[in-house]
Amino acid sequence: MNCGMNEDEQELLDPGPTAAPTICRGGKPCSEVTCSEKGGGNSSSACSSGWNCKAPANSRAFGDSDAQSLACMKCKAARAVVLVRQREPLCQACLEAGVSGKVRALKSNRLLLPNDYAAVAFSGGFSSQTLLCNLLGMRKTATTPRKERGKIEFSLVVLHINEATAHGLSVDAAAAHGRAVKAAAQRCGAGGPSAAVLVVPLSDVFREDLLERREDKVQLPRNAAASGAFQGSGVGPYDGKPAFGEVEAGQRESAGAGAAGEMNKNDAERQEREARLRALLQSVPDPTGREDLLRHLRNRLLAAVAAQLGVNKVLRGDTATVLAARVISETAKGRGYALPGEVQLLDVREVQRGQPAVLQPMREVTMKEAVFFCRLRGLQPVQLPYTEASSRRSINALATSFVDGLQVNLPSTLFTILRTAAALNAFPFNALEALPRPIAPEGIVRAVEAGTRDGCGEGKGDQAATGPAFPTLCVLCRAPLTRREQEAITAAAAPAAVQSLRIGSELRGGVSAAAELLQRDVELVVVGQRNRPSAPARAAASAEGEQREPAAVVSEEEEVEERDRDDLSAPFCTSCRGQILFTPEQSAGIATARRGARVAREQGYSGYAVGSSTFPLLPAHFRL
Amino acid sequence: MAPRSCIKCQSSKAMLKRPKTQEQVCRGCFFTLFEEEVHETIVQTKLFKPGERVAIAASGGKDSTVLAHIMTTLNARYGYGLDLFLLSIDEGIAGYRDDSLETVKRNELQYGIPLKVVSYKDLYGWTMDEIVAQIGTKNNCTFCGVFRRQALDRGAVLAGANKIATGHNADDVAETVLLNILRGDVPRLGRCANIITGEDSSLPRVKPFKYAYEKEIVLYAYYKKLDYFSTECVYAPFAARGFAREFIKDLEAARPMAIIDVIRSAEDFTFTSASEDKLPQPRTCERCGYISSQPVCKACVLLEGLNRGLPRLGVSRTRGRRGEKAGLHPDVERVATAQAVSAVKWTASGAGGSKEAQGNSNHDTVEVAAQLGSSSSVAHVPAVVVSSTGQSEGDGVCASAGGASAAGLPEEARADLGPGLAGCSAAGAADNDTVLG
Repeated sequence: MNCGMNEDEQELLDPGPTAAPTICRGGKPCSEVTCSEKGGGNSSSACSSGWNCKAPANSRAFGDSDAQSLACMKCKAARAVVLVRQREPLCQACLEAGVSGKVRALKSNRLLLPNDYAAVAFSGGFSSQTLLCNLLGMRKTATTPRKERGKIEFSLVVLHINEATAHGLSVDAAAAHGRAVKAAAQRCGAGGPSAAVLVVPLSDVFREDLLERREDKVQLPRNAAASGAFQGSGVGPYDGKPAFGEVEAGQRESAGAGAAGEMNKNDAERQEREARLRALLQSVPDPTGREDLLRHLRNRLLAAVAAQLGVNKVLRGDTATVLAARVISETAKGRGYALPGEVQLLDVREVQRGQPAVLQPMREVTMKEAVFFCRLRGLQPVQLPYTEASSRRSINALATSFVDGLQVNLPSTLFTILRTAAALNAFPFNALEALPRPIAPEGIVRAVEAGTRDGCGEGKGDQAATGPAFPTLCVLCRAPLTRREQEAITAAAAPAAVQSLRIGSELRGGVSAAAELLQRDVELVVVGQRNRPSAPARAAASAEGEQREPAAVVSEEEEVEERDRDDLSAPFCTSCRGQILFTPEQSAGIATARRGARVAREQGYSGYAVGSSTFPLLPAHFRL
Repeated sequence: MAPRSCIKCQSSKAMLKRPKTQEQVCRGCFFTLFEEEVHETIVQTKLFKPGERVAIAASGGKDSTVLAHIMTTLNARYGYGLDLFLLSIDEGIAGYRDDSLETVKRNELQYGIPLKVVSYKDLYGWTMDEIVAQIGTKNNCTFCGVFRRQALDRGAVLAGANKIATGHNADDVAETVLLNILRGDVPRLGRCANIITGEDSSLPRVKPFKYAYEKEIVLYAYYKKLDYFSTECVYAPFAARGFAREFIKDLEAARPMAIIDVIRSAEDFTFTSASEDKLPQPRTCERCGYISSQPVCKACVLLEGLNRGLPRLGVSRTRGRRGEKAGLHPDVERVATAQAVSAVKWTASGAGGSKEAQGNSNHDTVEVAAQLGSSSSVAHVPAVVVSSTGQSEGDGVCASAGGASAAGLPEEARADLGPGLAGCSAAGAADNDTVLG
């Protein structure tokens, strides 16, 4: 979760002498109530009225006289209330203007167009709240006065993936968390028919119906409704989005939805999914691998849900702080090749699969700015407890604290890191031109309307077909594969002599009968126990992306060679393979060494070993 | 807990858990594995060609001692056909370098390969002790790092080497990668993970230990009972660079393969053409002729600062007009050329072993140095040994900051390894030639 849960309050509020202007004039104590409730105002003379102080309530103590007050260095008029950067005191209005200016880069880059349907990935943390507030401010609705310029007429949905159970919370606590997040989103101004808030449990990643590729867009409303897709309310029909009404009608929690038997069945299914999620996460012994797996699952579910809703753009709240830490942590995970794709403004790698483009509009905003933004508006973050108690064992947590520590002494650290990352070659799917756009040069608006009315997938599909060739992606983390990895995969798959194996996006065609057999877990086990699938069948299975690891069923020593080949032919990147799926086991024996050596030979890499039981637990729809 | 048997040979008792792979192996298998991995690295990356004369940068610390041992072993075992010798640099730090040089001299006998020593005093006219006396203990590592890098090359040229092998290990490389990311130094980030640097130049540098973990090097030295010197540089406590190293150690504790992963990431980085264009083209220093990215190389700038009594010159951030280093005296160039002439003379006399260190830069050119090498026969130039291993892409921060390195052996590792290791890691802790330049 990148919602700033590691941020230290004291550090962020900078209660130094320069924070003095946060006090109301005359040293009158401003009541906390006033501060938080009036926080939404945007008057540039915020603090001069004495009582209407926008300062964070806990910074009251630091100033005691007007003499210490500073004027905002931007507008030179209002009194500064925050100190985002050293020697740059800002008033609330200028802080918000700065943040929203950065978010508005979406518009100047033509990444957010009229009639777009955007989903905000909302964790409930500081940065996603900031993002949501700013997006709502950019939006033109029916009530927007005509003279307000620069607003865009797009529709918005707030999506929260509730992963509370993955953090060890009980089902009840998870539901409470979901409600709290929804309330937080509503405090930001979302809610109502025009900006619905949806909470989706992470275990839904196991729902085949939800994540199936949408072959036929007409099916969507029926599917979503019939399966009782989303637990959420306030989803009203929005013009051009007929799916919504039915989604709401089908939701499980609404009073009249379905018979009791139906509900029981749903509950049972849901519990089963939760159990599967727990088992999956527990099968990854390495804390870092577990966190990464969680993140990949979350992103995948987010994209899938958004695609089902007809969303064509997902907006993520990753701040500069988070991205800088990610540069470090991804480097430490050996993902140097894929790294530049992570920190760009635009990412359309999933568009070919009918999923929305991903935008990171907060990438220029620091976490500190986001925290101040929320504080000054009285917005409280909703955060999950950080469960990796041994954060010393998590590379993500280590990288975050490393960057934070440097940032304290050298405030340019963040942007230096990001500048370094910007010097790396991004991928074709990051190019601004890669974003599918309406084709007709004239009458853009009409074309866009037609495109979005139809839902997200189509206009894109044919665009993407003619677009630049995208690299092959890892099945799990969707990172582009290096040439070395692709060669290793091809080489490992070759001995199996499977005609249908084509690493690449055109994999669909050749599904052997054996591969079909392996489509469901139960069947896999049966097949594994009775008659082992032949080598070609296994390779076909992995080629199909089923991610069953036959070796997990066939674990005898004699099968070592087979296992080597099968593992390596599954289209995973080296990092996922080594760090999530096949984390080393302590007493692995000779097979470990042989396998390690083999990986080293084929991928210029050594040390990771043997399979764990993670492999068969993955959701089945992680396929190319 | 029942004693486990080694997973390699299955016969003897496992003595240690390899820090890199967590495999439990016996002592003999560990030696074999470690040596074979280095051999594999050398063969796969084609580090050496038969008949080359290779200078092993030797400080007397654990990395270079193990490097010298492994290189002689592998050279004999696999017939690389290399002409090896030890090259040390004497920075002139009393209480540190003089002792470590003794270690190197013993190594010379133990491994039967010749030793050359080059000293700062000879090359620059200053010892580190004198420099510190003038500038204090802040930034002194900048001088040491910059000078050492050049001294190593000069010493190697003097001795007629084709290549320099340094003892940089995986931890060092990973640390440099991180530092370059943090500094936004894209050009260096691009090459710091290369196993060969300066491939086009006449004197490439190679890192046979690029994939070898520091802890394994310490273990190897310990179990082989190699004779190495493990005292921290007396000026090291004042050096920076520790935070990145600490982070690397944290990463290693969280996931042992992370160090290799960092290196792999750096190998996979590809840079945009825009940033490639900005790479400074290598050129030669207009004063000393040494390779430099600026009109005047850093060593010359620092040296001028020292000689003119302006020790901040070249240390604090300065930028003059026309891209020149600010504060350089326009006349110095002439002086330097005159010095070069006298340096040649000095060469002749210096062959006799008496070098009067002229106060000003008797910082001769490469050509001069080369002459020196040929005319006054290598044998005589008392090998200057560059004692520590600067790196050509060096950041010049500090040579000895790596000292903390092996201290990172976590408790559990020690426990796994039995009581013997505790002393070893403590010893290793002090060793400091790991600094990536």
